[in-house]
Amino acid sequence: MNSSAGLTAVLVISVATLAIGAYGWRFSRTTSDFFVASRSVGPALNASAIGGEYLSAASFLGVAGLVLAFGTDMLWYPVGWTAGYLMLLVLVAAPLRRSGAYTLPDFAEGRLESTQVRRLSSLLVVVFGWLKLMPQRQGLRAPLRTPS
Amino acid sequence: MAGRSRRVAAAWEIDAQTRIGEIYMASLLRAQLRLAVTVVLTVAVFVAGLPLFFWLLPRIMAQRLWGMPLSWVLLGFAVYPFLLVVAWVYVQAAERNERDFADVVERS
Repeated sequence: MNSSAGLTAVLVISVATLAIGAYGWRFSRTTSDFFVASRSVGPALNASAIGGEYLSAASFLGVAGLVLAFGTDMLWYPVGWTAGYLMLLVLVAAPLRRSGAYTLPDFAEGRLESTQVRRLSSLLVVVFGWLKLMPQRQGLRAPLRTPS
Repeated sequence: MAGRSRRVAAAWEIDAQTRIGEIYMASLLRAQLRLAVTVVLTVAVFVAGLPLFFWLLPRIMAQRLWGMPLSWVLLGFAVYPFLLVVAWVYVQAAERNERDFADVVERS
């Protein structure tokens, strides 16, 4: 892939994302609309959305690179992420849904009745979001720069 | 109908948070907790326990399947359908618990 094809792909995806966002803007009125589409998204569509997020530069290129650099022990990383989803389903999903909270900090605050827990939880979200985005950006850069 | 008036009574016990309502709720929560613990233990034994199987059964794990050692097949591929099946069974069982609870509340 040469750099102009890469640039075009990035542009197309950016414009498509903005267009979908602008389209959805007209229907989003309440908090419930904004965070969970008013709970109107079915399991199959929701799973596709989570899957689309999961199959990212970090999981695709990252795991391949880790196996190449450190050997097959690195196959444990994606196993851990996937088993993590199962733990979420088994331990968190039902109480989270019943509590009516939209975000994990919301839920932690409601469950433990502590603003400090909410702050700590928000901080963790930001820190882990950062740790995930950094290699993600790095991973994105790699295929775009590779000359063919 | 007698059944109908008694159905209201069972739901009322829970809504009013009486002792007996608490017992109804506790039985559902206990069933769901027992299910969750079972799932966590299953994953702990069969997924987190894989290194133990690799260590205990080196001869079997070194056998080649589709051109790679069995341990790679298990860790790289077989784990995912296994987790999917566990998740599916969990959801079925959790919904069955809820249905059973609803039946009990409606019938009592």
